Amino acid sequence: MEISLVSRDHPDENVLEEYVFGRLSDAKTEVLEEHLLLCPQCQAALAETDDYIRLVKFAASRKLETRRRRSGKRAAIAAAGVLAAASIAIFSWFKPHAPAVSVTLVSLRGGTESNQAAAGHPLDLSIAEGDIPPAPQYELEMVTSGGEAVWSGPAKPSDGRLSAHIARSLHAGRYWVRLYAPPTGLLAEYGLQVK
Amino acid sequence: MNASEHPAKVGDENMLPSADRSANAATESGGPDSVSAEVYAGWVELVGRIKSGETGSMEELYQLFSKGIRFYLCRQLGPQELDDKVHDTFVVVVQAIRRGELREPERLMGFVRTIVRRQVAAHIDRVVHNRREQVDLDSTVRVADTRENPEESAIFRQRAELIQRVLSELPERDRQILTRFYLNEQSQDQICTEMALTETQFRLLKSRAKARFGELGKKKLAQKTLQAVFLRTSADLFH
Repeated sequence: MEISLVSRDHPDENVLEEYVFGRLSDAKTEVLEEHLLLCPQCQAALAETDDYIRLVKFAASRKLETRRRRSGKRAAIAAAGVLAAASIAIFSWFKPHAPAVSVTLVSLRGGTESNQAAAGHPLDLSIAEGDIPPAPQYELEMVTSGGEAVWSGPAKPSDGRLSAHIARSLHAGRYWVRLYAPPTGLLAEYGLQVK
Repeated sequence: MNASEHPAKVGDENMLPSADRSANAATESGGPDSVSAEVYAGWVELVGRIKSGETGSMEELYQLFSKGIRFYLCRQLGPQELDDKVHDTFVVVVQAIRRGELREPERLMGFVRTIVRRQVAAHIDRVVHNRREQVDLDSTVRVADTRENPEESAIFRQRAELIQRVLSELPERDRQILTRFYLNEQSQDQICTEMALTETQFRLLKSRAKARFGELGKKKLAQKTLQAVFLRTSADLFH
């Protein structure tokens, strides 16, 4: 009898999703990754899961943005009449800032579609804490594709997410956002395309 | 060998085997339960042959792991220079086995996984370090272009539109559940507690949305095929 070299117990899609979100325990991750090394069926299933999550993230974030923009428009129209005269008189000297754009940084590899932001806006960055090791404090650093630091500051945890507000507007281009946990050092790096 | 050292089955109470894939597996192997002992025996024997320098054993090891290593590296690091990375990892694995660093051959898979993970970590460290170093030397340093090609981007956008359609067809509450799970990465437990859902309701909603996405995708594909046939037929008529 030919000896089989491949274990044949397969995870279901919920397990694969938990793996993609980095929420499996170390022990389960070990078992799953060892299985994935040998199982083309599960490699394909995981690639499909990665793809699906990436698509839903992209679609859901666009939907949220559209809704935010719409509700922002409605609010703006309602308030415009009341505020217009006062605004012109009082703030004529004040240069208004563009509204902040929310970006959820995703660490999925093999594509950059998920991490995108509009140029010329301040950014509200957020990172799901799921795959981040616990630490007393976190720091974020943003660098250009050439490595020039453009911003750094603390990332504050709340509701299972780390968030940071970048008040300055960014030019179009590719940026890298690095997450540090002093004194441990670099925890993760995310690509961000500003268009 | 200690039972905990076995490459444990992925399916435990939370990791149930999916029906169709398990069915395949059972057909191919004569049932999942009969596999483990054979698997270990196979690895022990293979490791022994690699240690003794048998040429065929290297090829066998490559056949066994190269796809998995390639998949893992590509998922973590992207497709750039993938062949080189796979080759480097394979060489490290073989050399380590020959040096006798794999003391328990039945842990071959865990051993390979550890090496692959180290390779990934080392690569990321190198990239970050290089990017920092090169800035001082050359302000016009180029980074690898990780963007998808235009065709892939177009396909991604089309599929994202389908997902958006699926999301907009859903009632607000269902959409909120999916947004919480996929976009905000909240856990199933948290969502079920906060939105008063049972685990079954939650799983059903997720699988229905996925099925609807698949359905729309198929329809779209069918429409495209029909359009292509129509265009070809029209073109033939005019010639």
